[in-house]
Amino acid sequence: MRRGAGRVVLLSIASALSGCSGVQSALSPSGVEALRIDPLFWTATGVSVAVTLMVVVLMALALYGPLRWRSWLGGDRVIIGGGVVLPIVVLTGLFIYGLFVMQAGAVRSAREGEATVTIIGKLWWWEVVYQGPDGEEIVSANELRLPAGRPVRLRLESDNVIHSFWAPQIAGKLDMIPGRTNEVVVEATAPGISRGQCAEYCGGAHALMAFYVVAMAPDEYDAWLAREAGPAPEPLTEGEARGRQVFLENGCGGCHQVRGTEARGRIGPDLTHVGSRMSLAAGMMPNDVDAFARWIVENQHIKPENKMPPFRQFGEEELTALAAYLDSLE
Amino acid sequence: MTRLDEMRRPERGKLLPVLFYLTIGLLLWGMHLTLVYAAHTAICALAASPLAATITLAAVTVAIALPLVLILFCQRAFARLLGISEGITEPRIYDRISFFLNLLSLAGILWSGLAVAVLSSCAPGR
Amino acid sequence: MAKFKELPNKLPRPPGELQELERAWKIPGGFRLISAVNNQVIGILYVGAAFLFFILAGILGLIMRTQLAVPENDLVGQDFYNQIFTVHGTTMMFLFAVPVVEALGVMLLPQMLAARDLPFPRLSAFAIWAYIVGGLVFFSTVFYDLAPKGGWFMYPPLTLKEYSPGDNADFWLLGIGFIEISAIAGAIEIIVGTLRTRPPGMSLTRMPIFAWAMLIFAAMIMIAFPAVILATMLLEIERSFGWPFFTAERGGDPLLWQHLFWFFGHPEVYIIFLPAAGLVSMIVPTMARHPLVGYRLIVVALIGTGFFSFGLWVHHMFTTGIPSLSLGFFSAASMAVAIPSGIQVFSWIATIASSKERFRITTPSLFVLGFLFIFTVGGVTGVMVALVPIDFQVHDTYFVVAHFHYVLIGGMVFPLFATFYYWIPAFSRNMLSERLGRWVFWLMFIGFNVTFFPMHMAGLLGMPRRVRTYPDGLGWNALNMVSTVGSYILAAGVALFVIDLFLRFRPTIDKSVDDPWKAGTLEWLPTGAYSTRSIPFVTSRDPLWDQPNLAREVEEGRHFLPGAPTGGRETIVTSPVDARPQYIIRMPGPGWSQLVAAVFMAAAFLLLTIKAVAIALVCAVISIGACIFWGWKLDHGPGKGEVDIGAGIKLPTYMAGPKSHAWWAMVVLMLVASSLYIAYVFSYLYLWIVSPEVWAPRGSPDLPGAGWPIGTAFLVIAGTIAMALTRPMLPIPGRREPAVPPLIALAAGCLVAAFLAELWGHLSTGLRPAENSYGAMVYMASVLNFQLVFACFILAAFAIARYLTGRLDRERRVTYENAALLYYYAAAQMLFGLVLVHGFPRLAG
Repeated sequence: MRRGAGRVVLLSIASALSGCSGVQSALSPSGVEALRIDPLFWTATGVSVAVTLMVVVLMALALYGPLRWRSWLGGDRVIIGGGVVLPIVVLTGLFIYGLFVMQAGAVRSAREGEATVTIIGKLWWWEVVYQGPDGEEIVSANELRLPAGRPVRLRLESDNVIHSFWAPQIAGKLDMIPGRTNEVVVEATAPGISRGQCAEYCGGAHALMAFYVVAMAPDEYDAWLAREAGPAPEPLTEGEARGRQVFLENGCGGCHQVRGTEARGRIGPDLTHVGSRMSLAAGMMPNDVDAFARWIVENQHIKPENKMPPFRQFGEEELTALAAYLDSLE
Repeated sequence: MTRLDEMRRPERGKLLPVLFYLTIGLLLWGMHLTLVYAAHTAICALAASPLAATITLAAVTVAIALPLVLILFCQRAFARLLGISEGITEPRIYDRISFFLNLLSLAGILWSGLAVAVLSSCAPGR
Repeated sequence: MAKFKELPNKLPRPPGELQELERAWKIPGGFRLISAVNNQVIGILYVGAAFLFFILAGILGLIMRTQLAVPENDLVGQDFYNQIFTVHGTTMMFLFAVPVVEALGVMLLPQMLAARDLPFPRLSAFAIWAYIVGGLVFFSTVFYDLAPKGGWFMYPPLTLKEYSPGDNADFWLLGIGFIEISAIAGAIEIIVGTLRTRPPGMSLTRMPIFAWAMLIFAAMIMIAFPAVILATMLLEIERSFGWPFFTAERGGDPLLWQHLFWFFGHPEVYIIFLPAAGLVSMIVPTMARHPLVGYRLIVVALIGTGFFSFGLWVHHMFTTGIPSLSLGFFSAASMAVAIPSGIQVFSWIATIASSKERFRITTPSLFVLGFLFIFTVGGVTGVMVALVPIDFQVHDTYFVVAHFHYVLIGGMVFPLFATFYYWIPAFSRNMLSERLGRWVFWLMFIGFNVTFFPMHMAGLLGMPRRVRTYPDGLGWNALNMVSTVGSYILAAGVALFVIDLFLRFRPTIDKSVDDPWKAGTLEWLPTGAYSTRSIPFVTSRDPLWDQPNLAREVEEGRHFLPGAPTGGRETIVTSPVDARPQYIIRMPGPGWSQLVAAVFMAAAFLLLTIKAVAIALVCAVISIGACIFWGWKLDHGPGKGEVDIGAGIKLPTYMAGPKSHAWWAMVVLMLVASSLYIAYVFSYLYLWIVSPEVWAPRGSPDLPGAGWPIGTAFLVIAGTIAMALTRPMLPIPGRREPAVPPLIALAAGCLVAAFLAELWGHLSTGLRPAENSYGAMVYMASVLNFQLVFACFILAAFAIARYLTGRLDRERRVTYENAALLYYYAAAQMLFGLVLVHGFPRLAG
């Protein structure tokens, strides 16, 4: 088995998670910010349920209660007590709690010095640029790897329309707005995999713009980042070599970059280590040879309006080789 | 009870003072929101001084909340100042509406003030 | 006529009086019905059209729910899905929710105020026809793949030419922009109608709550809609001519759109909710047979909501990364707006509890009780999303979809159905079926909750909004399937209602069911096309309860204005606070000019969408011509003298000056125009804060020399003086004063010259609007001035024509006053603009 054992492990975790409903749930927080919001959410939910129940009970009393109770209910004092005093007291409490949660987040995001990842919203995928240990740019796409327990500063940008970056388990969403850079510090508390999705309607295939967040043990993360910084692996089999030839001869490099080859395009996702990612097409497909082949031919069906034309000209042999090559780019 | 005779005389109340009397608190609340939002944005963008921003915002909040408290306590005098008197139908109803609107506005202003007290100025929205 | 100084008048009514009244108010028959302007007729048409859009947009909702029933569904294509969710939202908000409450205002307000009609009947008819034509064309785009697909919120850059080529977005911008104009026309009507056409004795403190709600509704439209009109103008101009208001590379900012849109968009929610709450406050006392408990507190709630709702717009932008303290301010305001809703809920509960017997459970009461529950749930989730950190998670997810459907369907559609069951008897020979009504209610109530409650959970489990599909395995499948099933149950309820409507609703003006609920307010008086036979003297909030013989007295013509003394349509204008009678307003009857104006105005806007500029201009000219023709027939003059309205009160039949309804309407229009301009000033300063580097003198050519603005200001002031000097020059009736036409012409000429001078000054510096956001903003001031200069020019020409034909003199001067008021406003706006455009960069640079 020369294909990285890490990927097998990741895939099995992912498939286990896909059976579990929490992978994109704000109710299963595993990041510092999401964990901070969680108790506020449940407090507010508790208050909401209590208020609703109170109104229902009062309605029932007003309709069917004994006359004495009804005449007590039918006065200005109930309106002032229930409609003015009660809301002011309850809302003041909730509001202050909310302010403190906000302040904690703002203070944390104002801190300097953490590792930085720039994520750029594209139509309809994510470019993810890690800052290496020496400040160099390491370009990847459609997946965010985080070192567990280490705060990471995310810089969120867009060069087209507005998107919104949302990984519910990790943190609340923050928009990507052309002309602006929004920053948030996130921290996964433990290794694990979760999913996120674009939350601001961005036209066309907005529904098909997802990503995985992979939180790893810090030392694994460092090792992974070092690998990610390197060039693409050389083809090991004849089929893969043939695939690379097909890739380069058909102009794929006009849009895609595979570091270590002459493919230098930056229009589409960087493919240098595409084989090591958890998914293809921004969270839409599993990452395997078949999926690559399907995407190349049927991408306009899988993700309508995306910027990649469908490549129908390939013969069976070419397509297989190309898919095998791409799959080998770990 | 309005008597028919009154219908023969011209109106004593004027719409604008009545509206002003009813909504004074809300107008102050709106002025407060506009001022704190604009001042905070402008000071952070131009001077980049969180301390100056916080001081300004606190000052604005006090400067607007105090007159409102004054009006809450001296409501009848304020009404007389505006010429809202016994000459119009059911003046007490306007008093009561005005009182509660002022109270709600004060809550709104103080809540904004709470935000100034708890949150740092000029920090990004996170 | 003998004098009788008390009411009810005990003397017998003169023969022929009723026939005269009926003749004056006769509704045209056959196909001529479309020329009718009676508020009952066009009110029913208006409500009907809005309800049609509700059904149409509801069908789109069902298609969406069907597509989302199962994961990875391919029933509806991506592009079509994006179109229908955009059209669903747009139609529900702009073509259903706002129009239907405005329609109820047109239909019910004159009845509740016992006025014979609203003060500008043709303006209502114009607004309604413009809306129907424009709305139908807009909606039909969904059938030929031309529908906008940028969401109902139309955020740029997605809606800029680069990302939305084609005419789809233009249909939204021009179509909806146009319908907003129609909404504003209706709002002017409602403000003046509520303040000035109340029955004698109905002081502000005795107005039905619905009238309070509509007054605040209209005032909110006046402030909120101009912001989105400006936004649509900016976006359409950027799409068509490339002025970079929203393009970041050239100094614009996409967030400017969000500020302007939500400054309108959040009040919009309350614009929809307040009238519905007003309706509930009318139905609850009737069903409880007890006056509303906490009337004053409900007025507090309505006014408070009206104000607070303008301080919340940023809560749609909590995740855009603006400073956290700014978010805190708007979170505070979002808390504040929750209190008035609490007040209303408790007032209704208190009124229900006060019922001497038990609260009557009828179909309208069921819908009201359903509303109370659903609205409470929507309210508490509203508090949740107002807490900024919670919003970070749930913003733009199905949680929010659930929240606002609870607020809007619960807060507005349920009261609307209560309204249908409650008030249809006043406009139909039959009541609707109480038996079917129960089924309608339970289907809708259960269907609604089954549809929308699971969406809270779907959102918390991470499902974003506006997605055409979703993958399997995220735990959303069951929730979505339940929602879809619920939506069909809800639809079945609505369908059953439509069946009930077909079976039982028989519109009529004078043979309606008499007061079936034994209610206390004036709309249950016996009516004909002329509204009530005589206009009652009102001494309490529930006149029909407190004056048991009132209905009979009114019908026998024993109160005010029992006939048609001027021989035409008229109603009493009363003072705004205490409703003391002031004069008789003479109103136009059926006509074609408002219809022609509306249809061709709609055509002009829609043709612009598809870039048929030449035909569009022709249509615009026809429309303006029709307006001029329409205006020519107004301003009757004082020819009819004074008339006796009963109880020994004599009133003039003509009024000019600050008491006249025309003056009031013009003042409201000026407030609308100033809202638009304030939104512009905000945009100017906002873009400067965002991109000071493109501002003159650093990033753009130097401003024209100080001589330019000073010269322009001189022209404006000279014109204003000329206009003001005209007033004392107006001749006494029958005489001539040759200086009047040249003076008015001079004033108009000065304004045009000032406009051109300002434009020329900037052009001469080499500044171009498409260069950067600064240039775009500078020229945008001229675009806004152009609208006013154009209107002033037409009004001035109109006034001159009136003078030349002997229709303008010292007494009969409303035409002049309207022109002069607008002129003064235009002059003020232009002078302020000079200070901003020429002064600000010098100060800040």
